Amino acid sequence: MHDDDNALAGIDLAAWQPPAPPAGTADAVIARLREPASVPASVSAIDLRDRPSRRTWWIGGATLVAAAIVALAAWGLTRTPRNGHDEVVATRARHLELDGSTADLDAGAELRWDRDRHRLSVHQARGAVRWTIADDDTLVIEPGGPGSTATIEASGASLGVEVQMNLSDMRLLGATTLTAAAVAVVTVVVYAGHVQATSAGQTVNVTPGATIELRPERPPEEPALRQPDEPWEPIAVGAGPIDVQQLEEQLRVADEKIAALTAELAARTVGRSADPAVAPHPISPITLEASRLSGEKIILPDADTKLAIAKAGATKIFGTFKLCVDTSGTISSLRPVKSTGFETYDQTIEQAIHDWKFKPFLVDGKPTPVCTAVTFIYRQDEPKPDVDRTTVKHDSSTAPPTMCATMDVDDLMTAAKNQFMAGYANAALSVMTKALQCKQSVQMYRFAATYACAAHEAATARTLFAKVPPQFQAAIEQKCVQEGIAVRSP
Amino acid sequence: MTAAAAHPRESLDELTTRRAQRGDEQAWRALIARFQPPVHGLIWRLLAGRARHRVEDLVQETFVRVLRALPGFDLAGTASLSTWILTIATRLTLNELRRPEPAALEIEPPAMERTDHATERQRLGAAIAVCIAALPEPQRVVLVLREYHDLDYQDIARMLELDLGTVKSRLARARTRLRDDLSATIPDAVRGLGGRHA
Repeated sequence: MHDDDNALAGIDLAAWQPPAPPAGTADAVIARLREPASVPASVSAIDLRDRPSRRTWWIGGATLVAAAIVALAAWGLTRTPRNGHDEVVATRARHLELDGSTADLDAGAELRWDRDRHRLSVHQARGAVRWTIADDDTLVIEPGGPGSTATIEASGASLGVEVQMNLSDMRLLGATTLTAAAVAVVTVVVYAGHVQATSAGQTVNVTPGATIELRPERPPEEPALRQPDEPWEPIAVGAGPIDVQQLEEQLRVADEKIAALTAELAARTVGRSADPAVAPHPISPITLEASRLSGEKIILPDADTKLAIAKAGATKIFGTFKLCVDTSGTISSLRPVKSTGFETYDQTIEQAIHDWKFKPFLVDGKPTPVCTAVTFIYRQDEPKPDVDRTTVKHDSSTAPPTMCATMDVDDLMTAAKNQFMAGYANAALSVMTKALQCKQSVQMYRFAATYACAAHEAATARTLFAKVPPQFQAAIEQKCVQEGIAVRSP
Repeated sequence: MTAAAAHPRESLDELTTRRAQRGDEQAWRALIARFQPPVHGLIWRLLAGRARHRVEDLVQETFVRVLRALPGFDLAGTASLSTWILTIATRLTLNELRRPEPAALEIEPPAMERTDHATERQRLGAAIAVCIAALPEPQRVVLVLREYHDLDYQDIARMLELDLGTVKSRLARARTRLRDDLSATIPDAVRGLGGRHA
């Protein structure tokens, strides 16, 4: 063939030559051919002479698609759903397909699901979720989490489940899923099908159109049925505008109460005049949290205090502290409002709070002193029988075994995750580092490496990344690259 | 005259081909030995500036598919065995190029500052590599198949499922752009040659 109009005429294109092909290709190819075929020949074959027309391809393709649809339909009628599990924190409204059943999460909802064949077990930690459960599936919800005393069971039903904290607990810093279970209030609305709700050992059936509220340690009350003339609002839990407004109103009232109390306390504590120009501005702890620069939020008691807590038979203790922040973002005053009941733990918390640093809080563009109230919850399991309480080490910096015996690693992981989700990667890494002193797992190293990259702790990230098995490294590496950190050693 | 014109198009005798179709391992090895250089060269050039580390994988994949499909190949048909194999290699490579992985530029740019240590031909080869890598994929494929593998327009059109006119226009645009880019990169290597753009 001759190209009359070749613009490259005279240019020595052969100057660009590939390197010699490597040896061993034939051996490799034949070895692969001796293995069971992974690619059907009919797919890979490209025979130019007998290549069918495009129309034939279309007809053949359509036939295949139709056959596939019929096969899928038959398969769908008889198959068993795939097992699986996941944790979901909905930062915005989200739809989940659970292999036959579905969940629509409102923003803020958090749950963990685990499917074992036709049984779908769910720990709904918080928020509103609308469930649509297939006829052959059984949904079992433990609202609030694993510590819940209530369960909701449904099959072939559509229902809404909303898990709320007590308003005071919604302001908690460092609350975990386990502690949340004990303070959750659960509202169940049944849209279709029948649902069973159990609490404090008593079970009631909830029929379509009824609403029931479950509270800790209380049996379910008789379901409140809708009046016949009451308008039907199928999406009643958390998803509709009315409930959002109600929730916002409740939050607003709570914020006002907290702010008023805080201002009153601040005026007394700081001893400043009531002149609004100089009085600290009362804000909610969540508002203050948004301005945090540094400081440890997860404050644990020392080993002696843990022992004292165990001796006292307490599994959960609370403490509330009022604090004010000056115009430079430093803690200017601090006092306990409600003691934890353990003086050393109060002191530990106060010492940690004094190290908190915030960005100056601006009102009309000017730095303004602010005050708020913060509540801490500490949960501690019953000590195991084999723990020798008399051999507690006093140096907690090296994470002695006894410290680990009283430390709930799962709680720490949840706390770290919450910190990370809230944008505090440094705090998440700090908590996860503590957890790793007591327990090591692939999952923990994966999370820790991700947190380290997000916190831009390159050296730590590389160390943690090296402990992650290769099959999990790619996803972490991708996230780290997004943070500008190369985690692989050169 | 193309860059491949000096080398006759590879072929395999009919007896060996039929033995390969029946699964004879020695014939398979003969087929691979005969067609490995052009397949390797084609894939290597089509991946210019991109995922070169995949070249050997694609070469192997090409021959795996060729040998699996070989029993159905019609020796009496209009397309040669060589074109058929290169078609499979081309399509596999195009699929690779369309994967959304980041494409690292692996071609060394022309070593203008190292003229003392490199021959003029090496400079030209490096410049061609860079300029071909910079061509849009549709133009690059047509150009490589035509200039380096001596396939005629009709074969290229069938391989890529394009109209003959499209192949010609793409090839013309590719040649023009390559010449312009080469003129800008190494003017002394192109200056004085005949043609519209010289």
